[in-house]
Amino acid sequence: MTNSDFNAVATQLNQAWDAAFNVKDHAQVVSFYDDEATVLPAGAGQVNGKDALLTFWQGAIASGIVDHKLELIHAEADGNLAFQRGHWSAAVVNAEGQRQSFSGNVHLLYRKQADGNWKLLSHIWN
Amino acid sequence: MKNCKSIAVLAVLVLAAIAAVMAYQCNAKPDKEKADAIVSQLNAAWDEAFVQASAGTISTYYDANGSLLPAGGEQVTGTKAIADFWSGLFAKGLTDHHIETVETGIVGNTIYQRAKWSAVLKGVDGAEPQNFGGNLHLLYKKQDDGSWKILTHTWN
Repeated sequence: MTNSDFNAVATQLNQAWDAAFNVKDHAQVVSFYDDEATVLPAGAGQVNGKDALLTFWQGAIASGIVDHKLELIHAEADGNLAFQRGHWSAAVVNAEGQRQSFSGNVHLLYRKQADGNWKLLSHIWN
Repeated sequence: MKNCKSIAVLAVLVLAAIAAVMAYQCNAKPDKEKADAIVSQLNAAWDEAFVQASAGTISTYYDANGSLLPAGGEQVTGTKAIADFWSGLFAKGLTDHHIETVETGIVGNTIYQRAKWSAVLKGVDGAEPQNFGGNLHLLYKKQDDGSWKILTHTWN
């Protein structure tokens, strides 16, 4: 797979991830991760495996995070691994309806699955 | 007779499965050990250059297209920009960087490392030193000479 092919794949995966998060479907969010995936959150311990990821993303969605957006900066594929450097943004709306925006860098590592699909192996942001 | 045949077929299948598992383990384990050994050396060298506050040395540990994804800053790409970035942090008094590996993996010409980092900000004018730390993700690319260099370096 050429890097420009993977760019298209990564862009599509970003849109699917954001769509699942923004409709508050944590199970759909977790379906984008490899069985051995790890999330490395800002300010918390690393989260390993699908069960822990379900709890993690359910908690993030329940905490009121909305409008998650992943924007690709650079992506490369090499054999069965690929990565994306990007930018993320999201917002939190508090009980008084005040909106606060957050953003930062994001790095996503993907592993090619037996069926040819790419799933997230590592996900870190700041 | 039919039963005997079934048992024989089953026995062959079981043996094949055991052989497959053994082959997988034999292949998988050295890779894991190999990645751990490579990463352990790379971490020690990186941390040592940090203690020496040598931005020039640190920048040689990155691929020519290497990138930093700093917490609270724009992404930094290329050897010169990476050297300048670390040089700026050394000037602010950051020292004693330590990488503690959590998990490594090697696939083809790529190694990934999930880790924890910690560092100390020196106290200026009698102020107490401050400790910092968080999660770290490093991706390495095998170079033409067989060495491994950092392609992406992300922390929070």
